[in-house]
Amino acid sequence: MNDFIQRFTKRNVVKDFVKLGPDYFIVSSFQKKLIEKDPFSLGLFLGKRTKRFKPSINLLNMISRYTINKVVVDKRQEWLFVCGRDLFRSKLLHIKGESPYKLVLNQNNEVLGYGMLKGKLFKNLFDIGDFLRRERD
Amino acid sequence: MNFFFERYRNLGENPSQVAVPITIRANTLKNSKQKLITRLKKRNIKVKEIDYLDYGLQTSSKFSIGSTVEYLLGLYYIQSAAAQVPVQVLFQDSKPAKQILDMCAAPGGKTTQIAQYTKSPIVALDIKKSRLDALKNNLERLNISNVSVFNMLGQDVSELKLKFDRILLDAPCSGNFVADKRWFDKRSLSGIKKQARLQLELLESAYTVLDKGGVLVYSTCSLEPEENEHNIAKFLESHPDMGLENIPLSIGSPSPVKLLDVNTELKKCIRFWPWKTNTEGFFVARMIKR
Repeated sequence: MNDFIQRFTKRNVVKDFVKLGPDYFIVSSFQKKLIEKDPFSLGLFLGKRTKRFKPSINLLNMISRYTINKVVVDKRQEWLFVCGRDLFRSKLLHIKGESPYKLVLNQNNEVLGYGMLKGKLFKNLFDIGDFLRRERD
Repeated sequence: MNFFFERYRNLGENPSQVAVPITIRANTLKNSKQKLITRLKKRNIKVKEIDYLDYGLQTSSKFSIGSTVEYLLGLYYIQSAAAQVPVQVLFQDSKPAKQILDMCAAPGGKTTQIAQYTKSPIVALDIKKSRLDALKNNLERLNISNVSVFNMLGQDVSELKLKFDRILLDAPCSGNFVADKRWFDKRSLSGIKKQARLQLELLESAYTVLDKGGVLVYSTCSLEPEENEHNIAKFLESHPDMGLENIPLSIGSPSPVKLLDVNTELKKCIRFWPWKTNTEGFFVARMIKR
């Protein structure tokens, strides 16, 4: 998870977390005591490691407070992005920061996911449309 | 259909089929109800506040309300109006909650609603793992951190060795004809009685982990007395330290105690008859452990 965060910022975004199987969580002191009771999930879900780390939208929102590596999109690109599509670099309203990895924000400053600049394209690596796609799977 | 409609007629009702409006719940952990209304109107969604609900909105649009960016951002949850009542009743007093249990939680409509009322720890249980995945997704989408989820039967809750001062038991039930067009074909009185026995077991389990002075809200989306008043009457009979409390809502009908031949105290329970409330059918009882 920390390797993932470092793509966006060197700051210590998540100070303390617990791992339940492949899942990462931030937990309260009350929730910490419940770990031995074999919970399905608890606290704030940060992401999951299978082959690669897949962040939660919660983690991306946390990173967003610490990073300048962001792109901003208009309403049309917002919709395309949450439908899982890659975007054209030329269609992005703003591109900020040096890292090729960028959080994607709409014009209300809300995080929609993240992706990577690659030539003329901005590759979609995760977007909030995933909530609907997960339900279908 | 006739058998069940006849039963409702015997309870003093004049039943009919209804088409209920689509309703949502504003997620006030991420935005205010007013801001959400403004945003949805900009998307050409008609929105109307539901006067008896804290966070409920009636919507109408040419497209699915589950396919907007606002939905994906977790600014609202799609939830029927009547289904928003039990949690509101659980928190109808201003006393702060310390530890809350949602006994049959998945897919998390009511669990996530509880999180709008309290920052205190919430424990959510459900036995169906596939439905727990949906609960986990909803907790993520709505940005909720104070819920601990266990894949277990509500009847086994005492194994957690925890006590609660608020418990929601939205019991698995036979449902009703509003949400399921084939409901009348699928249901029988024997099936309903079987469901009622399971619900009573869940009530007993809730009792064992409820603190003294704690509140237990029991609800079902069934209209059948076996799953509602009959269960509450049996439960109160075996637990004299439990008492029913009034539910001061501007909608819903008191249980028809005379026609059901149950204790008049059960008038404090409320029923949502679909043809009267223009909602799904629902039953809610609020009890306190003295």
